[in-house]
Amino acid sequence: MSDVEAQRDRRRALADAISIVGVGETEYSRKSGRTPAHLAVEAINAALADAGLERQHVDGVIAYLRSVPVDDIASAIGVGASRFTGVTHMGGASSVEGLELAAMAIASGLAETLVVYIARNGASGDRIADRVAGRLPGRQLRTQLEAPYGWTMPAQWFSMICRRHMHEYGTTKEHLGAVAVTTRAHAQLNLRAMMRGRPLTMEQYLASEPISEPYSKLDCCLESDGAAAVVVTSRERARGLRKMPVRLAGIATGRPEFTDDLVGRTDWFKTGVGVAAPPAFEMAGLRPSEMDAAMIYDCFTFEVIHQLEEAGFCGEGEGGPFAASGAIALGGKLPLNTSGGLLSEAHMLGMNHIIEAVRQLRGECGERQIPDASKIAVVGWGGMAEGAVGILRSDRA
Amino acid sequence: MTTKPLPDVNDPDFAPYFAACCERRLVVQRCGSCGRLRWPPRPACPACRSTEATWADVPTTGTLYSWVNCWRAGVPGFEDEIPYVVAVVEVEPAAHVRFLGNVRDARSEELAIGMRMTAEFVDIAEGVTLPYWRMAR
Repeated sequence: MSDVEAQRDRRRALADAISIVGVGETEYSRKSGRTPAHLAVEAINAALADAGLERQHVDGVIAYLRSVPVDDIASAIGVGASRFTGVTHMGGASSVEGLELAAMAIASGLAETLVVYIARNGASGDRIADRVAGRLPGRQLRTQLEAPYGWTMPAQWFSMICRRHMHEYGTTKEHLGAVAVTTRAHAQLNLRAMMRGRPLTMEQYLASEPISEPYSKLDCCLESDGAAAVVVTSRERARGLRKMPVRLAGIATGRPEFTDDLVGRTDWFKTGVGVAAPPAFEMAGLRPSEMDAAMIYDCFTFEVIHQLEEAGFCGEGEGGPFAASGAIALGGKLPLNTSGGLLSEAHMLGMNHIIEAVRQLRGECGERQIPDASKIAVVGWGGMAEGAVGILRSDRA
Repeated sequence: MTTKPLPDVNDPDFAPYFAACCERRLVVQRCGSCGRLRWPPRPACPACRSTEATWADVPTTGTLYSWVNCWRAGVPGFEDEIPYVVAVVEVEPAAHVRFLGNVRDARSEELAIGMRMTAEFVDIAEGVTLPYWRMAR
């Protein structure tokens, strides 16, 4: 057996090894009035209640580097003596990355049941747009080569790639608008969505004030206060719990040519999502075309189009027409971000995408339920185009 | 009056670059082993891992690779320039050698990808000269 085959076999041992058994969140708002630690505990308690598990069942905690520290939360929920803590660091890909870390911990026997959470006052406190550049890889490059020209915000970085994509493939503002308008429509069916009650037309989208052209305000995600958490455990432990387990059938993360620099990459359209997607789908034994839905990190509209291509849902350059075709709406070929996502539900660093996928697979989504959904891809995008891809499957599939 | 963020021209990784800017030149690293040009500067060549490097002149002209038109700034000093253009210019002879900088003589509507651009060196503070870009005449 070649080294490559041997590694593939070892990776395959992760497939379906763990299940998500509980999900929970706080209210999403612009001003929580509480500390992120309080928000985290509320979301974790909700996720544990959803799973029907108690704190003594938890022996591991995983969270994003820039969220409330895992040690604080382990102490707060009374699992300070837990065996495993893990810190994710892939920006917006961190929530899906957390599932990879959990799968490694559980499959290797280091832990049995973990909570993965995000908690932040991303609107009222440490505003995301103002802080992100100073915290990601490549700080020296940001300071020396970019800040002197006023190029410091994610909206400015990614609109730069978007403009190039428009040039090379004919992607249009209306294509971007299809993502904003469709996910806003989905949010109208979600009681938790911050933008519920505020439907959006293409005309309104096109009239939105410019932020960093080609991006306008409505190309940008929300900033939110709140917390979200999931409980994961071994496939064996998952049986007999309150809710139908959702298996992690495939998982992988990936990075672009240079994680710390966007401008100098040989090919701007090659991202970590393109690295992560093939092994994730291979692990699951499934193809992108077999997915019943996709939850894709929507920090900005064009990033959804870009990830549709990179994850393999359509060809390179075809993401815009794919989004505008109606395929991404409920009832379409690949319903996308059915909760409203970061653009219209809340910015919970993609944890809300994982939660939505779980609820869709359980059949808990009411008006926005995808009939018989059994396989859903969750795609994370972080930093300057790192990627994480998880394939979730209902345990009845 | 707020001032824009200034680079640290004494940062040893960047000092030769900023020194060249003061002389109205653009330089990038050239790998001492395989000869590959690299920008931005890094401790080693990503192609061959060699830590040997020299600094090589590259042209102060290039083509517009992409640009954005910023209506909000995340750092001080840009209040009076909004909207301001940030562009990426690809400089021969290597396609991956690209420089970021403001375009100060053109509005966003006048720009098009592939357009010829010329570096314009501006002394913005004592000992600090930065390249900006303008449309080639």
